[in-house]
Amino acid sequence: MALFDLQPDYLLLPEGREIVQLTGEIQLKNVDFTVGSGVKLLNRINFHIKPGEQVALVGFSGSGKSTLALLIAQLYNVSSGSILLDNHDISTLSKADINHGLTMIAQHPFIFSGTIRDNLLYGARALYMDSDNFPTREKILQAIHNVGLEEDIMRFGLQSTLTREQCALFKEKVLRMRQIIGTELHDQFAEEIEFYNINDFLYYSTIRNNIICGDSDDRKFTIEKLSKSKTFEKLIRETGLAPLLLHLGRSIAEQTVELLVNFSDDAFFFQNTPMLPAEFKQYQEVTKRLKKETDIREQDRQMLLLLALRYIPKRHTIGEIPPDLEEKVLATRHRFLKEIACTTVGKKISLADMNLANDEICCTSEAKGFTPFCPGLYLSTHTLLDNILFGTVKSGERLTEKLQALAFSVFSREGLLDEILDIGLDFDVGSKGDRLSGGQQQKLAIARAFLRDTKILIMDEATASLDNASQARIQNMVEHTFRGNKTIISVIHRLDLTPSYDTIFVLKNGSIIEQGNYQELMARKGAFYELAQGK
Amino acid sequence: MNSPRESNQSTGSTSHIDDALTTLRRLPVFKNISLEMVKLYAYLSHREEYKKGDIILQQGTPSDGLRLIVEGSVSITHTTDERIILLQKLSADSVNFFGELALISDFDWFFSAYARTDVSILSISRESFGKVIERYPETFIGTVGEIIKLRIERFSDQTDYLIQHLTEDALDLLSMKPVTIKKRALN
Repeated sequence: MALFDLQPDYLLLPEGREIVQLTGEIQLKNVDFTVGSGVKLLNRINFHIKPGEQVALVGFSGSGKSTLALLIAQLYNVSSGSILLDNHDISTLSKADINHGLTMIAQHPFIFSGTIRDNLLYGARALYMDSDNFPTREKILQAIHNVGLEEDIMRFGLQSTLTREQCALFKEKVLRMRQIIGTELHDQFAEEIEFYNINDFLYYSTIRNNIICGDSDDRKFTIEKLSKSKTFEKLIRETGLAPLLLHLGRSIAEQTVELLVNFSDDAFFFQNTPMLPAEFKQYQEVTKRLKKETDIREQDRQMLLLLALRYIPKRHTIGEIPPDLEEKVLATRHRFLKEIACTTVGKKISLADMNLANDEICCTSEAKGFTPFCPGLYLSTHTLLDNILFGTVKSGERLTEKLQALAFSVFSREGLLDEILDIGLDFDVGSKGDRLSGGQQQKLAIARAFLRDTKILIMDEATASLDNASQARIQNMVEHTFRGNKTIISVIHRLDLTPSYDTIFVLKNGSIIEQGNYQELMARKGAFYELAQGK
Repeated sequence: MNSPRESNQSTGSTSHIDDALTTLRRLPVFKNISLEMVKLYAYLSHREEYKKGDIILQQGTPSDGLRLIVEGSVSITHTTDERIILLQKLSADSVNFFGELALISDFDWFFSAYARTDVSILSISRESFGKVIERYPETFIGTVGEIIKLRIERFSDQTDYLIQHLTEDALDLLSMKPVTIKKRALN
């Protein structure tokens, strides 16, 4: 337990005084930094940075640039010499003083499990707890815009299922977009989307969606529930669909078990079958019983039905499709909608300003809480994107750009962009951000830092993993928006980003070997010039 | 109890695996490997439909896998200096396919493929190919050898096609060059 009894190097809060409000002045006096084994990483560093000055630290890998940045951020302690922030020796400052005056963006930022919003506000929370300065929605959205994360967040928003309140806000606009896609842009999207249509068999939807063609608020028509439902069993028996589904389910089970017997350890091989890797053993037992016994047990029948209901004709490559499956599915759908969901199908226009094509169908359901796939109805259990498309994307990502541009223009025109972004902010980034790309993580960390409006900003290769456009956008922020009101220390590899900095320090083997602005250093034809030429 | 194949015939059902198996078996790469393995490829393959004039794959975009023509015919073209040059016409009449190198290597397509008619294609991704071959490492060398042979055949087919369709200018150049070289050799 003695391990945990160590005294921290710095106090969390200052004792006997208020938190220091730093202005951004930084002085280093004869700073040395030596690591445990006696290796000297920094050697007699001296410099003076005035408030609002923008400084770049450049040099070869291993020259001590990042170490220097970490020392100024009070994350390491100098071995000898001193660092002064506004004439306060950094060793006398508490963590709270540093937190209020300085923000650092690391090269490999840490992303917390939680939502985008949690991550964005993490730093601001520590700073502005219970304060009027806590970032408003406008400020947050501005930060997202500034780092170029807007489109990503919008995509996350589109993939969300809305709450009841959000639904009320979006419903009409979404239906309007759905109508634009279904009419004006129909031909552009028809190749990539299979639109829901109450009279057509849907090759890119599950058999369940083909039959039910809608959703119930209390989720009573899920695949699992249907496979056990007596009412459903009666329905498919009467329409003659039952034996076909059983045949389909059985062929899926038998073929999957035979084919993947040596491959069931890798989920990759399950992408073309409706069976889940975790169910493999269970279905192995079922197929064994099917071979031995003449009568199918009720439980096995339900399991086969489950596979058949999950089956997506154009996506799953396993199983045998009985010849009259489509016809029987459609017949069952119409009976289900009429008798069980009490849906009336007619050629009616539900939204006043909708200019629906003649063959557009509108339906209403009398069954409480049931929403059929109908052009005029919002599907509250589906994502925003599903609702806009009103259909299934046939293959992968080809669609997104086109749709994104459309969504962007419609939502901005309708003044709803901020609302969508707000929904996107609640996207769960996964364990330590594993659902985000490297670039997204970096942008998120930069936006998080921008939301902390401190006088000193240290950027340690903060834009290194970004594409050129994003890098330029952030460089532009630093150059113009922050000029004069923030002290910037930027560790940079790419020398073409350095001309705008007031002072460039060139480091080699832990010492500053040159300093000056870009023009001066290039004219001197020394180490910086060589580094720039070597690129 | 009927095997899937027998029940298939008796009920008239359609099965992707059975259809794909027939197509894949025609390709030399899949001729000398076990039925179990070809079945896996058939299962992991996808059917794609294209309309006449559609781009099936575009030069300069990342390659992803092999495509076999099940129905229809396809143009293979190369774009250079903004000119589109036809390299080959492939149709389903004989065993035809393209993109075979993408099974074993990651590169950007160096040609485009267009649908000359409505086209139906069976595709196998590099990832699927890799996942299967990982389990049968002993077949790797043989399969790669077959792919390279296919590539060589295609190379010589395309060269023949280009030579047959060279313009008069190009033919002149062709007949002049060996002469110049000869002269130099004599000197």
